[in-house]
Amino acid sequence: MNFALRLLLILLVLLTGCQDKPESKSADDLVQVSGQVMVPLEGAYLYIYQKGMDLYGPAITVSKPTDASGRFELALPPGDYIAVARKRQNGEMAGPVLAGDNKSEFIQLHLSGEPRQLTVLAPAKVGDERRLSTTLPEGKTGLTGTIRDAGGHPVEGARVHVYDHVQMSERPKFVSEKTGPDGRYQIFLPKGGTYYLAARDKFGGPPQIGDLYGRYDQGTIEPSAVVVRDGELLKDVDITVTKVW
Amino acid sequence: MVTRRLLHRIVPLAALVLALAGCQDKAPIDPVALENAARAGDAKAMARLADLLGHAENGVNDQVYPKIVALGQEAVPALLRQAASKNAIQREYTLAALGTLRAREAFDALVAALEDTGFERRYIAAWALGQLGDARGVAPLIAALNDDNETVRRYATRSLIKLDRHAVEPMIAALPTATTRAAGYLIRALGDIGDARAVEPLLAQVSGPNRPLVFQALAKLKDRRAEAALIEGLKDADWRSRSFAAMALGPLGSPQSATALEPLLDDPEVVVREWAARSLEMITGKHVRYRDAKGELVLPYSIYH
Repeated sequence: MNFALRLLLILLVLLTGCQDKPESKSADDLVQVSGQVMVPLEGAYLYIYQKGMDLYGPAITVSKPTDASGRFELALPPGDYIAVARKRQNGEMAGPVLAGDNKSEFIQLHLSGEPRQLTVLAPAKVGDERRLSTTLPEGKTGLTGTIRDAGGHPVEGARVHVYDHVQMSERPKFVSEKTGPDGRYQIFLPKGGTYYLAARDKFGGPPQIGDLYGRYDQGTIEPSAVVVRDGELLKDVDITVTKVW
Repeated sequence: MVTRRLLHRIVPLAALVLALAGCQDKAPIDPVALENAARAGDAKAMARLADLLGHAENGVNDQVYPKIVALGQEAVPALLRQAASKNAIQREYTLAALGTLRAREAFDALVAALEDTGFERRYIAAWALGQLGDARGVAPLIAALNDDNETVRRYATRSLIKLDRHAVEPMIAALPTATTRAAGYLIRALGDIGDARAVEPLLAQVSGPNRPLVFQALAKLKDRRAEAALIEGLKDADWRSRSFAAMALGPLGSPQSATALEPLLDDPEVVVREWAARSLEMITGKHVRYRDAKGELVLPYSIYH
């Protein structure tokens, strides 16, 4: 027993001695290595723009959300494009990219017929805790009213989008804060003019089935123009939203 | 005595147990399984799926709606059976699905819903009648332009516009005797359809209470027959009428209109000056500046970009 114990101790000492000793170096000799461990980003969208487009407005096409391995797939005709990946924490496809959301740099994309593989880095946006950048400070010119549903009941959590062009196709020029339980909104404008309004419960992108959406109109194809004069706070500009079927 | 005490304790306990048993969850709703079964021809599954359109809890009906629509015409009989449901949410979703599926068999049910003033969300019937594209829908939709609910009136207007040329003659016929409110919607719809048959009937309304709306409608018809009335409208006391007349003259593009618009560049209202400049630009093809609220000469921005 004693013999066995001694043998074990000797082996332990020998084995310890076999270990490589680290070469001692001074701090000046060391090279610092640091970085980030990237994980595939699930639920991001790749937005494709053409040159000359507003790169913060609606894209010509958007991929489906990336899968768990971060993969996306798109088919485009040959040409020059600008691509950008974005993932918003609120899960929406459109709207401002806020701190905490992921976004890539703009990527120049030349497609000449050969399939292309892209590796896109979309780090989380830091700082810039802006809210609705298009919301203006309080002033004298603006609009107030109530957003209601088809039953005439106030709608909470909706915003009014204000456009300065009749097609209402690009980004809204101004966006109100969300309505409270009374459905009331108030939005100030930098100056009087002719405006076109829509109200909705989602921010940006074309309205989807199930969204609440309504334009300020009288049933016509074109929305009704709202004319606001300088210094006028136009009241009772009420908008009805219904589900998009 | 002991038995009574025991009963006093047991009875409430038993009631509680029974109540709790009643509170137990029913079998979980599985819309995907129901959709698959319905697709395989299971009529009960189809009926259950249609029934779920009335279940708003946890957004069940919002999940089921696209599945029903994806099932297509196969879903129509089950939907028709509940088209007059007392459950207003179920009725709204059901009529929406029938409209999306353009189910012509739903015509009578949709008209009944549109005329049912007890059904708060009858706007959906007005919308669905436009989806069907059935010319028989014109008469009930014109009647709905007098509905007390503004959303119903707006959707009826849009549906009449969708029914296009089928709606023109009946709307023209309804215009002279319509209430001021209903006439306003008829004028809007006739303007959007843009049929030349509407020009004279609209001009007959130009001196009525819907004068600014007539100007807007005439702008869309782009018919020279309207030019004299619009030029006259530039002199209206109401600044809205002046701005609509100025707006309408731009697309007509006559030199006579340009001459009439020029004085409006000095109008006291900024928006009238702006529209005069915009329309002058459309007619002449040259940039025209107007004086903004600060007194600076500026170009109007293009609202049609």
